[in-house]
Amino acid sequence: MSNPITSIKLVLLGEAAVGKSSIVLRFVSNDFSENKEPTIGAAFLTQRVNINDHTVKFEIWDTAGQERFASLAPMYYRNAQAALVVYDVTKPQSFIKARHWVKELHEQASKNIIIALVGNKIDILEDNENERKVAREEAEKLAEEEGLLFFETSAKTGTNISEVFLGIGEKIPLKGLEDEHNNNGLNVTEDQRINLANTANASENASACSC
Amino acid sequence: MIKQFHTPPVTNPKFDNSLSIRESYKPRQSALETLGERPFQEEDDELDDNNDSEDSKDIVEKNETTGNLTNEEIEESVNSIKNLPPDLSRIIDSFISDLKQPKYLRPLTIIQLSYLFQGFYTKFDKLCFQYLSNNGLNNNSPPILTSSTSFFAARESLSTGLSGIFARSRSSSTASGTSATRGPRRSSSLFSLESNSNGNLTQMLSPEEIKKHLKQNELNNLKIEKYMILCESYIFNKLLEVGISATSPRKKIIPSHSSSSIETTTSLQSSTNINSPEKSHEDLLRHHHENNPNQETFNVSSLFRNTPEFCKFDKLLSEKLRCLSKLSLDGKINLDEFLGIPESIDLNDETRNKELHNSLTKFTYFSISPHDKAQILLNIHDSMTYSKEMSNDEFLSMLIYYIIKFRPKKLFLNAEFIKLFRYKKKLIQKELYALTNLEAALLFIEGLTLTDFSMELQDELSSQDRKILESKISDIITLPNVSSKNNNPPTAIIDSPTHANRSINTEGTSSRTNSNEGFRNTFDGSLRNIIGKIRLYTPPSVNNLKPLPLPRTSSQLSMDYDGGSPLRSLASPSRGSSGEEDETHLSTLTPSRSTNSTIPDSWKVYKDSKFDDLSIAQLKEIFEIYQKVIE
Repeated sequence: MSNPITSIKLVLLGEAAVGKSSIVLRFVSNDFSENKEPTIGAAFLTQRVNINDHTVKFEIWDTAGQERFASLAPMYYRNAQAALVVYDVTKPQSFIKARHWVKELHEQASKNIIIALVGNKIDILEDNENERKVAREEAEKLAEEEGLLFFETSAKTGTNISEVFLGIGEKIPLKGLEDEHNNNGLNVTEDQRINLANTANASENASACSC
Repeated sequence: MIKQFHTPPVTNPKFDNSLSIRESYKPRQSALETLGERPFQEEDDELDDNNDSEDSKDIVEKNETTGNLTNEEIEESVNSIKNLPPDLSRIIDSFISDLKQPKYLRPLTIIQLSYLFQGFYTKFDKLCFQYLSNNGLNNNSPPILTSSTSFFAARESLSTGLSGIFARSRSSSTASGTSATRGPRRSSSLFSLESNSNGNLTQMLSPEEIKKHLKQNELNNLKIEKYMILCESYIFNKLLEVGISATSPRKKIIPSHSSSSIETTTSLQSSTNINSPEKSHEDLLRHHHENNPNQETFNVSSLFRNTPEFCKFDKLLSEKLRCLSKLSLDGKINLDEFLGIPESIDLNDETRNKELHNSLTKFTYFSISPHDKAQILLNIHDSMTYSKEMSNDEFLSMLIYYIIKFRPKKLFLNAEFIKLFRYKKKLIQKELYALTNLEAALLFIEGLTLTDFSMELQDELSSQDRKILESKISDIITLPNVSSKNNNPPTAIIDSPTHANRSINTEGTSSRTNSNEGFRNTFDGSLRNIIGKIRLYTPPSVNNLKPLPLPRTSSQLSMDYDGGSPLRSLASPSRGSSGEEDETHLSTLTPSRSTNSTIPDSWKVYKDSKFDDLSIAQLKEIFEIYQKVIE
């Protein structure tokens, strides 16, 4: 028998043009991608990753980064189990925005959401360290305060990209997911058919109905 | 084999036994075995062929991915399915005819309707699985016992609609014991194989057999998926054909306060008064209505007509879109800039624009089932993709841009339609994402107000435009909350008290008669419960005094004698519900709480009593009170 699969809804947040979708494209087009599903551009992508003896299936939801659409973000991160808050290490403004997203996620998203703070575009720094406008220490401090995973990445070179997702995958409490599954509302985000983790839940529901 | 058990409700001697649940009283394996029976033969050939082809190959089975199945196999056994097997389509037919039974006191709101549909989908999903396992069993082993009819029993519980819900909730406990449970069973058929072995099947399974079964499951999953798609399409095409009105004229009540563009037509069929159907899309239309060449369009708004908030919302949204579109055409708003569409995007590509326009039109007019509509949404996203680098920074702004540019009608209702009527287990992943994008776009548009625009523009606006852009639509109209606890499944024929009160008010009956009437009915309702109970022991002598026949309320709830809320007791589903009973319910549905103040305190002594606690003497007293009341 093969591994149980856990589906994770992961939402991408961050200012426009910080490279949200490039990160995902890099992640998805990596060698370990085995099955390709039809995509909506880079706006919705899925990727399976084996972590220990589990398979984690990421369903990655991109959001529009324009400030004008910021108020729409809750529609996307509703029921998400993980979030990537991306900023551009060369743009201080994008880091300020990232702070806002972290705050908002803590206030409004699912309680146990796993957030990774990602400073992208470090390839630019290789040529010229002066381009750096967001200090690594500053981001680390934020990550520590807010309990976030933190990575500096380059979607261009692929640096640290898979580490981000593996890091999230490892932190996903496989047991805790079942709580999410109890929301049998409009947003059942994972395919329950293939999710064995759901077994207990299904029978629970059945017996609950037998009044 | 155990004979059928009937479970008529104890309080209801007239209960139709054919509606009772049989499954739950059977030992587990027997329910499974009954799957061996196939009442209809039509499908045998086709499905047998499929199964044979699978059996002949021995492909290493891993799990859960479709990668183990060759494309040919999928093509052969899944994609070749064009129609539902007659067994399954008959289930849908009975669901629809049940929906059309005039047994609901008030027209169902869209949310109640959605609830019914989702319930049906779930049930249908299970039945598909039963149906397929049934076929599979026949192939792998000689037909097993065929003594009872769980298939039919299931159908019967469906066919009763309201009571079907109730029945289902009971029978689901059985289902979990048998093969009907979804996820766990299907993904590992080992469980169901084990239950088979209880039924004198093979005791041990070789690895090959296990593989074969896993693969069978895999294929069955794909088939079920296909059946579910066909199911949605079948239901809504059928509805289009037969209309959505109930057979009784009483059902045709349309809320009088529906000032907006609610169709007053009573069926989907006749609701074709769309202002400007695109004649150029007749081909599309034909494509979607091959079976019903006479159908013009599918108008979702007729489904929503009992929930005017949605229609009103849609109307205001259309107004706002028209206004924005005009402003954009007049060059007063630069949409590209306003939406922050990246410069790399070419919005003037004629071919693409035409394609998108077509898709949006198709989405709102020329598609029927929620699944089809969701697929079109995906196509819309795909046609907006012309570079792999594109992300939602582009998509969302482009989507909004095109919505304002092309102004497809009833877009909001269509989005809600998918949300409410697409099988929820399948509305996941990219479909859900595409829908979320559309909803986000609409939310953005409805939320646009004057302050989003420059001061210069604000000064230029006509007073009419200004009015349209004054406030968010969501501030004007509160949509019924789908997840709200108040939207109980429509198992109860009777509305909640608040609804009842409101309907009284809107009916404009003079408050005096109203309250007397209500008062009487309050008591009526309460006593009815009591009498309903008494009837179990002695024939109710009081029956003649009552102005109305006894309703067949069979209920746990009616045990409470709480004069304050007679509705509670009425709210129990009458399980053998049939048309004529509704008259009874209807006439009892006018009480209001406020009238309780007119009841002398001495009459209220039993307000908080439980029926079971009452002595005969006390019951007599209550009866005396009742007589005073009706005088």
